[in-house]
Amino acid sequence: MRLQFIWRSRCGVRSAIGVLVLAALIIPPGCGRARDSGTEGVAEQGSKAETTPNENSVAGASQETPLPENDDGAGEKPVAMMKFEEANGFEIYQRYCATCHGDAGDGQGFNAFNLDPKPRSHIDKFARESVTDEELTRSIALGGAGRGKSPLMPRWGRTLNPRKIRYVIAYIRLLQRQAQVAEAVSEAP
Amino acid sequence: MLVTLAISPVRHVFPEWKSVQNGYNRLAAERYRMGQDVRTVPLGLRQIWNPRLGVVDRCTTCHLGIEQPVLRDAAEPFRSHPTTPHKLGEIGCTICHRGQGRATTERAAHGATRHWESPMLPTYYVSGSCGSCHRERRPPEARTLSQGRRLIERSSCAACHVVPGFALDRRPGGDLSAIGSKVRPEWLYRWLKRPFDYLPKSRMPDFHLSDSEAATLAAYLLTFKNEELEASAGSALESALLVADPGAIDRGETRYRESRCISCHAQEGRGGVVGPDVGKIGSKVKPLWLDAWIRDPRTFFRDSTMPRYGLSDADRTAIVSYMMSEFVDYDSDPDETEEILALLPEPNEAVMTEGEGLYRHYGCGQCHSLSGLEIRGEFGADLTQEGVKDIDQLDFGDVPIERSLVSWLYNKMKTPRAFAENSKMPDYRFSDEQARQVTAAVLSLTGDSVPPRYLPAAVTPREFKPAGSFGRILEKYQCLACHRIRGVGGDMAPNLTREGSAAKPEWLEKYFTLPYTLRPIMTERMPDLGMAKDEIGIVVTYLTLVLADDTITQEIFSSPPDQATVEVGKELFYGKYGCQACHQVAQQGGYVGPLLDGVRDRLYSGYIYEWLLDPQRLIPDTIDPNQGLSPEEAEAITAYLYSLPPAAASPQGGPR
Repeated sequence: MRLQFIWRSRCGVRSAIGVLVLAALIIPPGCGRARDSGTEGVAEQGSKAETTPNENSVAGASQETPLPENDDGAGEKPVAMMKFEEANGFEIYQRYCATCHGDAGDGQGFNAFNLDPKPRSHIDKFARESVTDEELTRSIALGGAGRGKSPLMPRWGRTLNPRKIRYVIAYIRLLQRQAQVAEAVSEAP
Repeated sequence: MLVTLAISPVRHVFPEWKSVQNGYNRLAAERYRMGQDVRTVPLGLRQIWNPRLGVVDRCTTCHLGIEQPVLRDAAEPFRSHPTTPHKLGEIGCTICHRGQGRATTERAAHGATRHWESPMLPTYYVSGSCGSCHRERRPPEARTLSQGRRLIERSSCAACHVVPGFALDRRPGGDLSAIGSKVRPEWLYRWLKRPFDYLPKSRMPDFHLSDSEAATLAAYLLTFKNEELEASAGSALESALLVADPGAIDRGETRYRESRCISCHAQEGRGGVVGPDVGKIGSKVKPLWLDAWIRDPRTFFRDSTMPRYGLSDADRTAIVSYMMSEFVDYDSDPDETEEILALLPEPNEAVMTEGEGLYRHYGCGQCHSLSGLEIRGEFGADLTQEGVKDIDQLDFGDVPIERSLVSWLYNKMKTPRAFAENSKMPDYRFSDEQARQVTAAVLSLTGDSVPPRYLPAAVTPREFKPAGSFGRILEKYQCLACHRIRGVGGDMAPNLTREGSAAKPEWLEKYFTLPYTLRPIMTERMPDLGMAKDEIGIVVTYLTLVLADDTITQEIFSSPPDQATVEVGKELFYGKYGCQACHQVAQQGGYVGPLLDGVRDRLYSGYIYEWLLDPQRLIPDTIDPNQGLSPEEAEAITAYLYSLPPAAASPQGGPR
């Protein structure tokens, strides 16, 4: 165990490289021949080098074409780059939350002006930096009244299960990241 | 040589995964010092074994953090898996991600292994795997897949291909038997050449016809005419429709708006998506046809979902005049029209034979019907196992793309004829995003790869086909195009499954006579269908007698509730539950839910009470949250709502 650890730290991650070093140490005269006949090592290295672009192209099948600017399919928004949780959160957010909190999460939904107090913005600095996932979960599940705030925010805990609330939070975090980027861009000289 | 011999055994003493596990243990120790509950693991191979699914996945040997939510921000391979509806330890990894589960090196497991028949899916397409088990059209929590399946449905892929679960019960395209009396010749030529120019959201794909093909096919199709319409050509009615007086056009506009045509038909991209965009229909159809179509859509197309409005003859011709004069293509070039007309050949015998040949060659009959040409059969490839097709079975032609199923499918969606010159598959103009969604949906077509016990209970297709006079009314007005009853129908308008227990017959009668909107912001509202009085009676009786729920008492108050209860209810409504966030009372409150003024004239108190207790029990997908009211609270709020007088300003409660 201990020995192995030493080997690991000296030889790096790739066992093939480690073995080459090992072979070089054990049989110094074989060095020249190792270069000639060490096809396996070379092949190993070569195929490793090949894998990287290959893997990239597999993982990035979505990269073969750029993200569409807008999607003309009936009222969809481009969510290509959303992760699983975010994409599911998007659906739920649009259906349950956006009427008041707005599509962008800025608290400016179409129903917002009927409300007093106004709906929270999820994307301002405070929400981004100070509100934890646990607090968001509680606010969504228990509603405003459940947290000693305005009852205009209903409790969703009986309508959305914990998993769905996690999806919504993932989407809110995405909105926050987007807002942060937008802010940084607008503040840039 | 010696080196080669030395390598083999030593590699097994220092496998890749051991160093990965050591890395994880270092991370765990660090996180543990930070106060997070992450433990180190003993070194050793790990696997998820599920013999019933045929899963032997050793992925967790390296992906040690997948079930550790606190490692959400860790770098791969230790990052936690996103929340999913499934237990990861039960179904394993490769069921969704594919790849070589038994492998214990990164390279072998993650793909790029020649001839390994199911390489790992790019993360975006994993959603397609949900569909291997979840065969329903819109599996929840699988957005990409659902969107892809929606596109398969909308593009009617199953008209040509065998697509399990998508078999069509009717032809998606229109009946062409009267096409010559329906459309203008120049329009037909343009449409065949470039359908997306006329309708950017055309459901008919682009077949990339050559000029002469389009001209021949148009000339052939134009010979199919409706004798009745042809007989009245040049009649007084036609000239009246073409050159209408301004008064008729104005009246047509009013009737057009009242009939809420825009709920289904967009104008220049704005409006509903149920029917085609009619923004340029004046440049497409002939007025007599439009008039006859509105009179009864199902004489020309048996499967049309358009309601048969009860319009008077004068109103109908006014609407036609309005549409013919206002909805025209202002960009069309008269010179070009002349050129096209000159291009169309005389329909002699050779042209007819050639036209029919083209009609058959491109499989027009897969979607359209044409009198005397009942052709329909298997035309495209069988897609039953397309999602697990071996790469060697795919024809990549000489197209320089990555040799993988995902990439082949994606490019097939984008440029369907890229791989073979003789391919007949038309172009659907999918955006990149849509092409990816369809690809994900096709990847879900994996045949019988999943053992039946793992398939969610098959959803039996619903049937709701009432017979008799109510059935005929349902057919005439196509109520189910918008409303849903017992799981059948559309989602544009309220679910009517329990309407008889909800709405009072007197209110229903008034509503059918003069529909209005209950929700201030709704852009779609019930059209004025012009229903006859006896029809309204039949519908109301049916709703009351059949579409009722016996678990709902009609009235929960034997006598009017006392003032104290009403006050308690009011306090709960405004103070505790904040209902005014979404509902308006006396023009105060939100825009999301229905208006509540005079709700006692509309709904039974028992329905309101049950609704307050559990809205989703009555309408499963309503967004009204279940707030967990106690029965006493629900009763008090019902009492308060029942005390609300009708809105004073407009007796019908809303704008027309």
